[in-house]
Amino acid sequence: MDITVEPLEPAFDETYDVAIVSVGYEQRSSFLAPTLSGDAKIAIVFTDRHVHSFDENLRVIERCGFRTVSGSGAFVEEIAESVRSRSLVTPGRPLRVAFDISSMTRQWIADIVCAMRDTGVRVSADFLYTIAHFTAPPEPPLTQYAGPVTPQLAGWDEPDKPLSLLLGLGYEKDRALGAAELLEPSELYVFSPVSIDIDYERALEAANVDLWGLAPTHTHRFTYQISRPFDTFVQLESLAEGLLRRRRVVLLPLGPKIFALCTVLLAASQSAYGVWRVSAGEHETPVDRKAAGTVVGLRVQFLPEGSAVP
Amino acid sequence: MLKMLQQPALEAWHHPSASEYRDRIDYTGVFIPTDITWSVQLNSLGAGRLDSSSVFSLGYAAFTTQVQRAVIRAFSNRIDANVPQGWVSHRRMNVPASAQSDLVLTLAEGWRLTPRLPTFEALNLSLSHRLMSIAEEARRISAFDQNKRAARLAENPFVATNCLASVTYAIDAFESYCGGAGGKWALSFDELELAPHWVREELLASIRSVDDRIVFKLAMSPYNQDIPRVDDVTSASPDNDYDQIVLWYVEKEHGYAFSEALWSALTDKAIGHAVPAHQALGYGFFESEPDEWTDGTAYAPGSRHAKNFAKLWDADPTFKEYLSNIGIDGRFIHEASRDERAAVLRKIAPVVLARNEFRTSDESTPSVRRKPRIERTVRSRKNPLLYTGAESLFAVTEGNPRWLIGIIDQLIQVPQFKAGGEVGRPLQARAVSRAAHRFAALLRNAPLQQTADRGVLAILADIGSYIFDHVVREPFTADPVGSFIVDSHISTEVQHALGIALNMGAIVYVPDEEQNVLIRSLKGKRFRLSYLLAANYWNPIRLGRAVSLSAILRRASDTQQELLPERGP
Repeated sequence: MDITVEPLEPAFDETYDVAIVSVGYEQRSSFLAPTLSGDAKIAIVFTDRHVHSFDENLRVIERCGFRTVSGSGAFVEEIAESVRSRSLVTPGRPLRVAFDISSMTRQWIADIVCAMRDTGVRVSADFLYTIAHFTAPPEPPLTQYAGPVTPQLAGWDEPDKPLSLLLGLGYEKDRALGAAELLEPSELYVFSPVSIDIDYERALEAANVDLWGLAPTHTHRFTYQISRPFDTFVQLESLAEGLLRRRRVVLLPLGPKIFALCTVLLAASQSAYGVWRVSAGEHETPVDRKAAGTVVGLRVQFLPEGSAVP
Repeated sequence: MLKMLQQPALEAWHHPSASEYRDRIDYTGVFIPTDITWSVQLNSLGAGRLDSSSVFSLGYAAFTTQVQRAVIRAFSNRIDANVPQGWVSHRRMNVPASAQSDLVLTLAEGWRLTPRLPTFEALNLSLSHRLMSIAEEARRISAFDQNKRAARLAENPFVATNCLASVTYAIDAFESYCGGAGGKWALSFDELELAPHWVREELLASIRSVDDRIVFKLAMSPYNQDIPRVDDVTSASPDNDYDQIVLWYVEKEHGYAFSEALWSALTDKAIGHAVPAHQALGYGFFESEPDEWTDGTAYAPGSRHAKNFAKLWDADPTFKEYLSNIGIDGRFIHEASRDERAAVLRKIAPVVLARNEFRTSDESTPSVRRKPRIERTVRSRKNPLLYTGAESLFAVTEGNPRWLIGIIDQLIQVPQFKAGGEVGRPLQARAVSRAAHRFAALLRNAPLQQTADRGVLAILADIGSYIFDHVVREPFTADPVGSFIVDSHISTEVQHALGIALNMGAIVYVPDEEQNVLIRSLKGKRFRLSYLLAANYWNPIRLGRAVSLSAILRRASDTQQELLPERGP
């Protein structure tokens, strides 16, 4: 399966065959639902932390005609099956699918991308992300997991190559530093998100102030625009490709989910790359992130081997 | 460290003692690296869609391939006639090209490989290809049912290859074509605690049974639940089957020589000549030579220690009471007998130092002691200078080269160092504080069992706070708590967290003379906090008396109810 990533200017009048959203405690998780068309509409519902805007989100999403599936079940298979069955009634053109990843977990995003890659169906997917207003970072909870975002994206490369870590910064205090210390890369490439919100940037800087002293000569600093995910993808892709010949590449996307999407798409098309996550799982402190009104995204063409580019 | 035993590393090593060490190495180092990402990659083969038996079969094949690549590297180094400029040839052999080709072809045949050319490079490429094909095979067979999968795996010639048998075969081939019969090969596995458990089991089980041309050098953290039981007669046992080499220092002084040598090497590299650590860093506050106490320089009127003792004598009635009871006047310690100085004063000096540094002068007065704990104060010290000076920097880094290099790298950048002077104590303190903070970040993010309700760092903070209270806040005692024993009341969650702390170097195992240094369980064992964390929790750098961990955690739980503000990272 080939994966081609393209820039996307999200438009509210786009029509889709299938639309997938999530229902969680963030207000922004239902922000896009009313604008998404689709013959099949599926909402993945978080099974824990039904707090903040969860009830309202569920009401909105159900009113928009989404069928709810449990986030702890085999929802990825259900989505893949839905995509396969819808593709039968859209011969001759790729199936149009929308994914609102704004409130999805990184693992869900990774599993969904891998499922789309493996369906064997030509899919043109729009991955949409709603930028949120700034909310102060919560007290960092206990880490329950540090490892591949999904076993499918653990990566596979020669173990005697030195490790390069491509690390997306988040605003959880010292999480990036702790993760870098855990993986002990010989080179660290740090990607800081540039936001329109100055409070976010301040929080980001405060949370990572000690990261820069870790190994200054082996730390390389990059920035990326949250609002320009395609540029971010290209930036990551060219860096990772350049490193691959001599180094193992592991990507660790903390921070905005749109960056996580970029790393997952990269690893889904190059099995040598691993994508990791560091997470408190269900212990992650729920924060009610509210939509700021800006939606960004990427269009991804999943092409079965041998099929022509549309 | 095991990397340094490879032939190229030995040959490239420039050091006054390099020749002496090289001469003592009568084996060829075969280094097999492991790290956390490789370990999870092995365990993730098949992306969660394969049964455990298939994951093991393919993972084992990948591990064997990795070992074979390391063997090829070692062979290639031994018979390479080109010694890079500036290197000192070590154990190189002169082998005709035809013999090298024959060796490659023999290895290829035995290892079921088809290199395009009879060269080591081509053989290595074939192994790389095999490694990639293992991952592809895992993906492919994950769609098969169990029977088809097993049949498919059975058809794969490399899946059934026994790793160590394939190494023995390679050594036989090497001896046949290149000579060097009976020579030893040291299979050196680093960071084995990160490897899948079956790798450790295979290696530990092999120690007593394989070819005596193969020497195992296994580096791993002390705690692992799959270490063979010492009473298991079928397992290899320490002293009989293997030697244990402890790479940590229970007593801080034992690491000083290594740290000093590393300091010298790094300063030499930075500015072209080695700078004595004391010249650039000064002396550690906790230190004084034993002779100083007996010969009269450490306690002389006006000396650092004399001032410290006199200061605490005035400020701390419980200290005054203690010294008075043993007939010593804290203002005139030079009057103490030679034996008292060596036995008593030297022992309590670190405690005196910590109390002076962190304690307010009226802490021990009854009126303050009657106050709730939260209302009592300690001095605020963002980056205490107490942990600066050569010995203290060496102690807090525990002989861990990564930690020490991290600190030294910062210090040798400062203008005072470059000008040949002493690096300011505040700069040293900040470097220690940064190192401690980074370590704390690692511990804070250490993944725990799902049932855990407290993190590694929170437990260590309780221990650090308990020791701090005992050393600084409580009435003076000459032998305050400085270590702990994991007793039978400690929950499995806390033991699991402490196991992580031990393997990350946050706590240090203090074995009794007769205890095995590799442990399957923490219960009944004594530990101390790493001195890097001691600096974080303002504990003296000393191995103090042990107390049960449950007593520490019980006290912490009581203290939390008093809402004591959090201290430390």
